[in-house]
Amino acid sequence: MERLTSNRGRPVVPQHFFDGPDGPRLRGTRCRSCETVSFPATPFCTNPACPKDRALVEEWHGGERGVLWSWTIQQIPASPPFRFDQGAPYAVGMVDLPEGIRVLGLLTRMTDLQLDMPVRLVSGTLFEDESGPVVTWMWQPE
Amino acid sequence: MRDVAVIGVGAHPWGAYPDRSMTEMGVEAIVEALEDATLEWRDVEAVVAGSYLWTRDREGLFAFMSGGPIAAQMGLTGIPVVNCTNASATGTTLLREAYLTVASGAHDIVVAVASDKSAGGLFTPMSEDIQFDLDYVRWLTTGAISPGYWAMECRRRMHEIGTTEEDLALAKVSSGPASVANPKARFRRAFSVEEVLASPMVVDPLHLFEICATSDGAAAVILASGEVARRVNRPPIWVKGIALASKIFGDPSLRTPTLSAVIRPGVPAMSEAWSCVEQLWQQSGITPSDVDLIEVPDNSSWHYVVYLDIILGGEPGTAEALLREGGTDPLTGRMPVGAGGGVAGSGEATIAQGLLQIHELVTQLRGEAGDRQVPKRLRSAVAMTYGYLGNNSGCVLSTEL
Repeated sequence: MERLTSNRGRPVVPQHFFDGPDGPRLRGTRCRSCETVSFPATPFCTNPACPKDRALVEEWHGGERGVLWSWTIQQIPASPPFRFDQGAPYAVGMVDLPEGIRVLGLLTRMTDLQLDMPVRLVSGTLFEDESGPVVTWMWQPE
Repeated sequence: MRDVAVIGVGAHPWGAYPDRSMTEMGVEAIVEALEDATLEWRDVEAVVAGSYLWTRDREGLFAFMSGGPIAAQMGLTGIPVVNCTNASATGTTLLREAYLTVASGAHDIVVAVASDKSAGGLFTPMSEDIQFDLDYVRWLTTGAISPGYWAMECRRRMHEIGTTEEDLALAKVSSGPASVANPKARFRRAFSVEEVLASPMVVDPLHLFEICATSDGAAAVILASGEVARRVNRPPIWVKGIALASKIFGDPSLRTPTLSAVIRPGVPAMSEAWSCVEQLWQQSGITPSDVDLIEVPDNSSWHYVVYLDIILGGEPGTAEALLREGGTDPLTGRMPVGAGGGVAGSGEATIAQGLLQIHELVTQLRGEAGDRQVPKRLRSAVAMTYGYLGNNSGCVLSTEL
């Protein structure tokens, strides 16, 4: 298992995202049988055709690249405990990954966005505390 | 299965009532429904009650198990009381449970009741369980609010089928005048397209007036067997179809409050809504062209158009075309939608909203809606609700068996 923290920041929810030596990755699961990727990780494959067998599911690290299915500019921030020093407005998007899964996440910018544009996964700072930056996954348009 | 009819409806007006408990609002709704049905509380054989969701902020366990305290205020008679929830789809889900209880022959007179105090804001996570509460995880990692999900679906729809900003505003404008004449509605006013488009942008492309507010409210519906329904002195409104459906694996729509959706070719978006209407047509034997009146879950203008499209069963964009020609206008349109002002006019009292829809349809089908009465002859009406995590319920009501 990769280190949960790096000098590039501490993930706000470490079990779903990490910034490893090869760059930031989402942490989910993949079914060995039908290849369904689940994010966040699930104990069982969510395909109704697959047996509910923990051994069928392996850890999956991915999400490096995807396509922006849609986005919104949120003019009002989510209330605490969400913490984002940049404040509102901010952009949230839905990104389709080649594994066949649509994933929600913040975007790194609010301008020059287009539907179906390629995006890549980055680690973005939500806020800083005494331990340094606290980060989450974000999508950066390419 | 036996024939089942609605014989009574009641509602506590929608609004903001900080000094009233959900229990007492639920009691008021039941009392009104009993008066409407010309029945006594002692005639009621079972209660199906809605479980309030946001109990961390309000009333706690008593709101989650609301049927108990409501029955206690009515006066305990020892009858079965069931509590259940399906988020925004709760109201019609309760009606379905009540329907099945009567249709099966288990009981003759059953009350579905839901009381909800959601006024005052956006829904936030219910726990700080960072390990297993994925709603909390979504909140911390993405900062995405529920209307943001709808906005993203809306932007894509605009791109794919050409929905315009004016179409989205029309969805709000269309049912406004009906809300003015509805004593149960909260925002009793009409809007212009210009006014809607000038309201602040909240989650681009959705403006403030294109997103429903959250409200307090309570509603009750009394169902009875055909035999009882013919005996009481009220025109029975028959439940011709009632369905509940959930999302299908591979449906790409990413649902509040989740973080992802698995995409599989050939599985439609909004799969639960398509499944739900299909069941409704099969059960009732009616088709979209037989429908005289529609209640959509217009939590936002996006919901309005997507649900109307699914109910009408036409090409994508049928809803927008109907809006542009004024066809959805409750008083003058050929396919009236939201005859009581819709969710837009009431604000959403989450778990009670589906029962308020039934209240409106029953009132209209009986011809008792006063100044907001749809003038054309009404025989069949459809209501649909939309719930968290991809669940959907709907019903078909008719004046004829």
